[in-house]
Amino acid sequence: MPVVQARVARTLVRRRAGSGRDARQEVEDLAQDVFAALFADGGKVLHAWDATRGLTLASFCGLVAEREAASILRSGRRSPWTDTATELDDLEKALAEVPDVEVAVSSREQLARLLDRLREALSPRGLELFHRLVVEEEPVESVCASTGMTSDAVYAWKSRIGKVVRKLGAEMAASEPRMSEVAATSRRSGEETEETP
Amino acid sequence: MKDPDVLAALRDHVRADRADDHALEAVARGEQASSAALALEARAATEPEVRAMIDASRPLGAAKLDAIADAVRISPAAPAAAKPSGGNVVAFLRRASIVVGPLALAAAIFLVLGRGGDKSSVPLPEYTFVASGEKEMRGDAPPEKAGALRLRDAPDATFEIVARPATAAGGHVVAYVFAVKDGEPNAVEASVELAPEGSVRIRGRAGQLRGAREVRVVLGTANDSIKRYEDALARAREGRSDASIRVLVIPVAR
Repeated sequence: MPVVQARVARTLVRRRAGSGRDARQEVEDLAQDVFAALFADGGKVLHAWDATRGLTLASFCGLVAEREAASILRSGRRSPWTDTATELDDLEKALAEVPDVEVAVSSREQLARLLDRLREALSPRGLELFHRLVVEEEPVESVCASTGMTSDAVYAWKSRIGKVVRKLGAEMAASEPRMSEVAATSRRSGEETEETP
Repeated sequence: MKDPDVLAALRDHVRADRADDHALEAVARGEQASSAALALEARAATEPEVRAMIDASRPLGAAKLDAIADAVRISPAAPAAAKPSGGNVVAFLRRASIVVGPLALAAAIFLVLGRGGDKSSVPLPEYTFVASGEKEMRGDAPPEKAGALRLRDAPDATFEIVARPATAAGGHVVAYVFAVKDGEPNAVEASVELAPEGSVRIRGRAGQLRGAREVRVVLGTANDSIKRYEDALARAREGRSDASIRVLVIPVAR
């Protein structure tokens, strides 16, 4: 519970400064939503945690708490998790047509939104790998050793995460054209051409 | 921004966001006297956001946790993902929220994981502790030092630490006691009593803690998460808990 509450509290304060609502009540509500997510469908999300993969239970619950709290604060509702069983197929299909564009994020708020969407797009395992490979910059060999995954599989995940970020960045640029000075920069034939803002 | 740049920006954003997590968790555990929580409290005087995070992280209290445990219900599993534990967990949560109140959520997590989650070390429940020197035993400890071990500076002074698990521990619990002086943990000669459900009572002489700023109690499962003394020493040095090893960090006050 302390990890869940601390993550929820931090996420709430950083995103809702001065909202006027009772923060303690909001923390209580969000913590309840996090536990509901952990226990939903017979504890499906909770079962995605595996002690042999190197992440502690508390850290895993912390990731879930951050993801749920951010999702609810952004959209007002819980966002379903990607189904672990079909995630790779679905992800590969979704990423097949990702345009070769650069992501334009120029503010802390945009990064926070991109991060929220990334968390929602990834499965519990994908989220865990994002944190280990990108945030903690853990070597691929170390991830292989603790997860039992092959280096090819880990590199594939690293590539997928990059593609997901690019896809989400492109979607954000399309829906929030005024949020960045350069919405997206297309690359053609190895040359970069900037679009007029 | 190219892929590596945006990933680096996300990495830095997450790291900055998480900078105070360790201290906020200490606040949420009610360890306001810990060094991390005190450092955060000092910043709160000039940083309103930090003040708001601390206030939002203070323990919710048994009644609020009861309400959360009571409200959380597990929806029926979809056929493809059906797990036999689902219905039992619902029943357990209902029963546990009445019987053990705020412990119900932690207990339910371990119940769920006990049916297919952890495949390596035996997970330990979270622990709470009461630390007392002779002053507290006589009831004159200032309330703001409730989380610290307050010692009398006398040759015959003693101390006692009682640690209790949120739920009954699943394996044979072992406990190692260290005094941290100049950042380095040293084993403390103390009497360690273990109860079958995992509670630990530690009694020793205050002289063993001379010069120490903290006591760290490392709890794990014998021949599982802690196989050798060195395992416990390494974890005491690190001061970090995980699912199978709990490290209680107890500030020493004089």
